[in-house]
Amino acid sequence: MPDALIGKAVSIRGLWKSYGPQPVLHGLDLDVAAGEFCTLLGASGSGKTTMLKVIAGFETTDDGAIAIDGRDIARVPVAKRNIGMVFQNYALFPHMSVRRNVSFGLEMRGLPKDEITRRTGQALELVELGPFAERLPGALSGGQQQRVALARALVINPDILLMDEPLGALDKNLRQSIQLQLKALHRELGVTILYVTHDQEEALHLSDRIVVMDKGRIAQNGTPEELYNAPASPFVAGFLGECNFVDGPAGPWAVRPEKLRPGPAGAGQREIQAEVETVIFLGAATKIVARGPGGQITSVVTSGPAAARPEIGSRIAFHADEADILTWPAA
Amino acid sequence: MTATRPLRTPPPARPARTGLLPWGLSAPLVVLLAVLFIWPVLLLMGLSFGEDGFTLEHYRRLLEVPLYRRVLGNTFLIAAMVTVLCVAFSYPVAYLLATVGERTRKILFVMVLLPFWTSALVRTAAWIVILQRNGILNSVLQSSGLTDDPIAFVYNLSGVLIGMTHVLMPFVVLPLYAAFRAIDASLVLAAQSLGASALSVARRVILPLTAPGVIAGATIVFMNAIGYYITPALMGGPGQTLISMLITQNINVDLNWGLAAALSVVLLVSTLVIFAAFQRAFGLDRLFAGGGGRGAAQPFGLQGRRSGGGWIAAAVGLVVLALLVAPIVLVFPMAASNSPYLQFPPPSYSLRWFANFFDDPKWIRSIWNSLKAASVAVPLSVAIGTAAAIGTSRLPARLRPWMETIFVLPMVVPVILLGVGLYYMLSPLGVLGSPYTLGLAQTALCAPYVFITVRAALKGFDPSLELAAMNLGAGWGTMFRRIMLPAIAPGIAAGAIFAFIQSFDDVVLALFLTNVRSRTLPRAMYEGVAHEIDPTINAASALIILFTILVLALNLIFTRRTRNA
Repeated sequence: MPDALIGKAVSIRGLWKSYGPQPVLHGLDLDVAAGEFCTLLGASGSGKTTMLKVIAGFETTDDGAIAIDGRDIARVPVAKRNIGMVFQNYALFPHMSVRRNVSFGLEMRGLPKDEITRRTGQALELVELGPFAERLPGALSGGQQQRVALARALVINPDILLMDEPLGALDKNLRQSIQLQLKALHRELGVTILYVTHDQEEALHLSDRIVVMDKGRIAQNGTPEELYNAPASPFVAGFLGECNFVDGPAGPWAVRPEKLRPGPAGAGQREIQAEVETVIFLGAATKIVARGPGGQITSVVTSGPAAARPEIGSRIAFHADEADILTWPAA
Repeated sequence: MTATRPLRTPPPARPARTGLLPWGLSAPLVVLLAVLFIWPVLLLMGLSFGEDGFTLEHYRRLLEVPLYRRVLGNTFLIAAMVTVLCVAFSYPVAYLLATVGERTRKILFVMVLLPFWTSALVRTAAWIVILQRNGILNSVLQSSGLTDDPIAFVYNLSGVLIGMTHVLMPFVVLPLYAAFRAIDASLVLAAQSLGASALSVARRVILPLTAPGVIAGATIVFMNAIGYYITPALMGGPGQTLISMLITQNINVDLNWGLAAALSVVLLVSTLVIFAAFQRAFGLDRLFAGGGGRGAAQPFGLQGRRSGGGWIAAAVGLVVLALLVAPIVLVFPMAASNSPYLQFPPPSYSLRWFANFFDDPKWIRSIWNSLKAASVAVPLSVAIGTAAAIGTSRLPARLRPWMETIFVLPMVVPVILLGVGLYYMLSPLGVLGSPYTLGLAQTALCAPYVFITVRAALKGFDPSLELAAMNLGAGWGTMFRRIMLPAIAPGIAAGAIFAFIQSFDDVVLALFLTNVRSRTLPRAMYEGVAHEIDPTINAASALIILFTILVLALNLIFTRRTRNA
């Protein structure tokens, strides 16, 4: 949309929220820069959806401050917050056409008719739903409904766009194509997005920054590369990507499967012995599952000739570069 | 996991801010029920312990006078017999409904629902026309030579049982059918593959799985039966005097208010005990959801060919269904009869009894009175019931069941108690005798129906739509008008129709709260039936049935259109 749509920065300090005696958010701090795509990643019950609800104003906070562009919004009612939201089930108004759904927020802002028409049209063009404008949401496919929800949230030029597992209801192929569109849209519009998902691949795919949440606390906050290459805790290492956890003589350590290769260790490398249990050919890569000292380990290597694969039941050495070894101070 | 941040203790949790809106919306119905339902019932309770000074005299007499003891016993005995008959007749009907094709099922369902929605008074009048000494059944029996003398079917125990079973049976058929549909078809296949015969399947699989549905329906029937008034009063004889009739007799004839009040308390306590047991066992939803059974993935239906027993059950079911609609269907030829006598089949046809109905100022005035009462009861109960439904849905989950229980109590407590209590409360105020006063009183009966239908509609309303609207900048009022109201409009319309039917069919309140000038159509009919049935009453019955069909058809068209839109 030509109306310069540049997202605002969000700043959250000391956010507490409980349902009953059990706190759901433990005094969280979070900053999202203007125009950033930030993802809250966590299992169910980690507090990520509560976080969105609190920012949108659907839930009150017990304590803490939420500011958009430096302006405290804690006391601003839901209807006045100017925050876009894409709901998990889209929450499209079933009795209104696609066009009326998209124009609803503009009507609520009392904009002149011609501006409503113009901006609604642009928003529908943006998500390529112009031809479907007069249909009811029930007559659209899941992916189309998802795009209506997106257009409806974007058309009000929100300071920040909240998305609560918006792709959860779609099948895998559709999900990937919409991820690409969403990423392009984000780059084009410069809107600030706070995105909630439990799907680590989706988080890696979309985000400028990922905030891993665990039991109402932030486990780690960083770029996808930082989180993958330098996870702050075994929890993050296990949650984001696969990881081998090994009980070494000098204490526990971990290594990503693609950094662990069959063969004895050389200089600056670490070695473990393990008994090969399964060898799985995956096309470009081959996965070796073996029983090591600390439990099961996996090694993913580029596929070579079939003859080079280790024998099942054989005991062989695996090695990894010291630089790729992950360790954490004892908790 | 390492804690990077110093741990703080959480601040004390605040209760969620729900605001005053839910209470404000629920308040009108609370006030209405307090004034027009709870207060008159409390007055009756007080009266039962003596007008001046506390005494248990009235209760002592209830237990000591043999006549009263017999009435108490009779009431529970007859209620139990009606319940057993309802269950026995419902099984074949529910089985038939579950095992026929989709299209046949729709037709058969109409045969269950049409009587369900037709005024109990009309059905009772029709049964009397069929069963009385010179009625349809006796003339058929005699002309076919099966009997020589007329058999007494009515004004005795058989009359009460036939009439009450007919009126109350749908309360078992509907939950029982739901229970049948909730049985997974593979269970029957599994039992058969393990060697069970058709009889064993029925006894060891079907019966235990449908038992909860049957018990739920039977409880509702029993609860209704002990406080029933119209049908036993019109179709029973002196030996079938029930508590409700003894109450009216003590007020109208013996002028013994204290005893009437004590009888009312006995009835009230019995009903509430059964209701409490029902609620504990099944929950409130079951009372209205027609069984609430979730349909199975592959619901019970006909597996291959019907067994011999299956054929017998289906045939019995069909006969019972025919008996359910018979009185309603037979009203029409009788109303169009040319004869001044209740001959069947009529010797010739004419519209003279309809003409008679429309020429008589007594009937016309009673129709106007009915409409005047409805003009108060329907809009008031729709507004108050809808507000209460929305308010209740926003109350803290802990309080919701309590409010719901209070709101549905008028559907549970026998109407006769409300009639007596309101009569006692209102007659000193000099407001009786106006159809508008009756309409106000009927609001207490009608509002719960609106409350329940709108509550059900709200359960189908996705709460995230409300959040989405607010998030897009709509205030509560705009959200209600543009998002919630269109979604629950069919529920409100259905509630309005149920409220209208309740108001338009009400006999009991009208008997206590109106006089000769302000009497409504059902009261005029009741008096006609109690005195002597003449063919004009058949014409009135036929008109009421046609009107009911029209209203229900409108409702069906309306809900179908909104569903398709």
